[in-house]
Amino acid sequence: MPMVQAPSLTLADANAGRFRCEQVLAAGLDAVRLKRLGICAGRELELIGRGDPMVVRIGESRIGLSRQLASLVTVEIQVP
Amino acid sequence: MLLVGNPNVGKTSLFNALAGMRAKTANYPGITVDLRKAALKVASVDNDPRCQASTQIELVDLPGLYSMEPASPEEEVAARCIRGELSDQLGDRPSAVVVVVDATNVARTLVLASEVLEQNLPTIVAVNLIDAADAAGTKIEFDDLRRQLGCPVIPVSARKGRGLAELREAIYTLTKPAESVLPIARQSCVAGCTGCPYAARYDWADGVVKSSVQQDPRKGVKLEWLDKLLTSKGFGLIALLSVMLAVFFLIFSLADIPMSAIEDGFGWIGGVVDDLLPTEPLSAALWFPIATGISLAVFAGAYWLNGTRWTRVSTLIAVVVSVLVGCLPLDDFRSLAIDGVVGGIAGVVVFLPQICILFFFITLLEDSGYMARGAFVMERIMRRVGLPGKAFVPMLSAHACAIPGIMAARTIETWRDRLVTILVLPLLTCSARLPVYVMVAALLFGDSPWKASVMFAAAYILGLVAALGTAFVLKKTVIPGEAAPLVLELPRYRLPSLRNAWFTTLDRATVFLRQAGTTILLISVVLWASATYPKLPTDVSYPTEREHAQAALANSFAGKAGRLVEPIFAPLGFDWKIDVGIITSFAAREVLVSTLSIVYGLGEDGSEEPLGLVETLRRQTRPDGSLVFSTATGLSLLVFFVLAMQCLPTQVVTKRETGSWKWAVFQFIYMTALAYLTALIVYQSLAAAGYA
Ligand SMILES: Nc1nc2c(ncn2[C@@H]2O[C@H](COP(=O)(O)OP(=O)(O)OP(=O)(O)O)[C@@H](O)[C@H]2O)c(=O)[nH]1
Ligand SMILES: [Mg+2]
Repeated sequence: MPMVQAPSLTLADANAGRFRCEQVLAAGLDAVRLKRLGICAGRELELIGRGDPMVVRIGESRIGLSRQLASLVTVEIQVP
Repeated sequence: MLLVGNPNVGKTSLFNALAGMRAKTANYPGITVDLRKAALKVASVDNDPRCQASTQIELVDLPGLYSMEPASPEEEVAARCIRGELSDQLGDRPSAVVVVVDATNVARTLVLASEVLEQNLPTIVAVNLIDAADAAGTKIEFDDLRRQLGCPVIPVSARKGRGLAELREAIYTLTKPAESVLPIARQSCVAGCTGCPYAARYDWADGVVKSSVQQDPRKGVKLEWLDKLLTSKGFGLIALLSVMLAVFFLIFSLADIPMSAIEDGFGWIGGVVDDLLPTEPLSAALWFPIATGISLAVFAGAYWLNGTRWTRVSTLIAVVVSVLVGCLPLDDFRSLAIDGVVGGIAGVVVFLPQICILFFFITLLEDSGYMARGAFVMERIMRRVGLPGKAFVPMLSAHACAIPGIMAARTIETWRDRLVTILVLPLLTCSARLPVYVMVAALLFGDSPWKASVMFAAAYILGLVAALGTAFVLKKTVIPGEAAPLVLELPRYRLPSLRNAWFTTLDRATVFLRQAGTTILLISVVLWASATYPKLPTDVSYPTEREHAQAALANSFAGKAGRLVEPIFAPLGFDWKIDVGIITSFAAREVLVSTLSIVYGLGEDGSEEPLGLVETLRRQTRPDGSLVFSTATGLSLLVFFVLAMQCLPTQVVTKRETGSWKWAVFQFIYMTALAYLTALIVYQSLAAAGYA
C-alpha cells in the first residue's frame, strides 16, 4: 500500500491559532529574513491576524508577513 | 568599541545618552543607516581616587541587525564591522562590543548576542528599555543572565538615563589594557539541531530566558485589540487615511498664524531697511565704506551659517562682491537690499512653520510605533505597483522634503525596491512646492477658499498618482521584478518622546534656514543682478515710468535668457518672465516665487503704492492685452511644478544613494519630460475650451 502523505498545511492557508513550524521552504535571502526573526523549524508561533500581509507572533515579537512568504512555511497545529 | 543589536532596541538612544549626542531615533526598525562615531570618556566610578583613571574610547553606533547573516546593505556593513573587515573605516578589529538587548523581548534579541559572543571579542550585554520592562511587569535575574552568558550584563534605560554609569564603568573595565576577558566559545549547533542554526540559537535563548526572566501576567498594558484594529484590512486603511488627513489638516490650520507673522515680520524689516537708507546720495567717501561693510557683514553671516571657511578663494569672492556693492548707486543698493535680499529670503522662510509641523508629527508617529503598522497596511496596495509596503515611510517624509525621504529609503532591504522608491520619491509634493501652489491658488481662486483647497488636494493627489504610476511603469520596463515580500517587525507601541520630536524638528528647521540663508540668498542676489544689468542706455526716453522698467528688464541678462527659451515654453502658456522663473527654479523650486516677485516687481517700479505679489501678477498682460495668468496658464504652471525635477540637492542625494549619476540623470529626464508633456496637455486642452 502506497504511503499517502497528507498535504502539509502552510501558514498561508492556516486559520488563526498556535502552530509549530515544520519547515521553511524559502530559499536565499527570503529564508534568512524569515529564520533570523524566529520563523524556523521547530519553533512555535501564533497566527494572530489572517490576510495578506498577516500578523504572526513569535515569543514576544510581532511580525508582519506577506502571504507569499507564509506559503513557504509549513506548520502543524499545536494543541494547547 | 561597537554598539551592536537588533533594529529598534535603542542603540542610537543609548549612544546619544552615553556620548551626549542627538542622532535620530525612532520606534521603527532600521532608522540608523550610517556608522556614527563619538569619543566617549569613560572612567571607573570606584571610590578609590587612584582608580579614577579615564580614557577616551571611540564609540560607534551601528545600524541594527538581526543576525550576522546580513540581508540588506546596512546590515552587511554592521556585520563586517563586527568581524573587523572594515579596517579602512574603523581601524582593526573592534576592541570591544556592547550588545544591546531589549528587556521587553529578551529571547529574540539574545539570539544576535549569542552570535556576537562567538566572535570572541570582549563583550558587554546592555539590557535596554528596562523601564518599559518594569512597567510591563517583567523581572530579569541579572546574576543568572551573567552566569549563562559569561559576560557582564548591565540593565540600562537610555531614555531614563538609568544604569549609564555602570555601563561606562563596565566599558572601562573591559577596555582597560592588560586584562583580557575570557570570552566563551559556544557550539552553534546543539543536540537536536535540524540543520537550521537559528533554531538552535533560539532554543538556547529561550532556555536562558526561562531561568532568568519572570513575567507578571497581570501587569503591563495590553494593546493587542488596538493592533488588531490598526492592521485589519478595512479599518486599518481607514485609520491610516484619517491619520494622514489629520496631520495635513493640522499643518494647514496651525501654520497659518506663524506664516502671516513671518510675512509681516519681513515686510517690517523691508520697511526698516528702506527708512534706514538715506534718501539723498551721500558723498562717495562716506557711502563706499558703509555699503562695503554691510555687504561684508552679510557674507560673514552666510559663511558662518553654511560653515564655509575663509579660504583665499572665499575671501576673495566676499571682498570683490562687497567692493562692487560699495560702488552701486544708492537706488540700486536699495533695490538690492529690499527686492533681492529681504524679498528673496522672505519668500522661502514663510514655509518654515509648515515644514516644522510636518516633521514634528512624523516624528511623533514614528516614535509611537504606528509607522510600522502604516507600512503593513500599505503593503497590500503598494505591491500592485511594484513598491514594497516599507516605501510608505519614505513617501510620507518626502511630503516634507525629498531628501530625508530618500535617506529613509535605506530602511528598505532590497536594492531593486530601494531604487524604485528613490526614483519616484521626488514626485511627491514636498514643502518647497507649497509656495508655488499657494501662489497659483491665490491667483486663480483667491475669492473661493473652497476651490483653492480642492486645487491643493488635486495637486497632492497628482503627485501621488504620478509616483505610483511611474513605479508601475518602471516595474514593467526599466526595473523589472516584484517588490520583495514583506517581513517586518511590528514594534511595541511606546509613548512618543516629545523631547525627541522637538529636537528632530529643530534640526530640520536649522537645515532649512541654513539653506535659505546661503543658497537661496545667493540665487536671489545673482538673480537680482541679472535682472537689473546691463542697464538701458540713458539717451532713449520712454513715455511712462512703467514702460521704461519693462524695457529695462527685457534688456537685462535674465530677460534675454527668458526670451531665448520662450519658444520652448510658449506651448505651455508661459511668457518669458515666467520662463526666467522656470530657469532659476531648476536649482530650487521655491525660488520661483521670489523670482517672479523680483522680475515682476522690478517691472512695476514706479507704481504709486506697492502691491502684493499676487495682485501684481494678476494685473500682468501680454502684448495683445490678454491676461498673462489665465486659468489655463496658472494650472499648466501648477502641473509643471508638481511633476518637474527642480532640486539640485535632491539630485546630489540620489546620486549618492544609488552610487552613480546615471540614476540621477534618469530621474531628471523622466520627471522633466513628464512635467512638460502633462503641462502641455493641460494648457492646450484648457485653451481649446476657452480658458486662456
Ligand atoms: N521607554 C524606553 N524607550 C526607549 C529606551 N531606549 C530607546 N527607547 C525608544 O526606542 C525606540 C528605538 O530607539 P533607537 O535608539 O532608534 O533604536 P536603534 O536600536 O538605534 O534602532 P535602529 O537604528 O533602527 O537599528 C525609540 O522610540 C526610543 O525612544 C528606553 O530605555 N526606554
Ligand atoms: Mg539606531
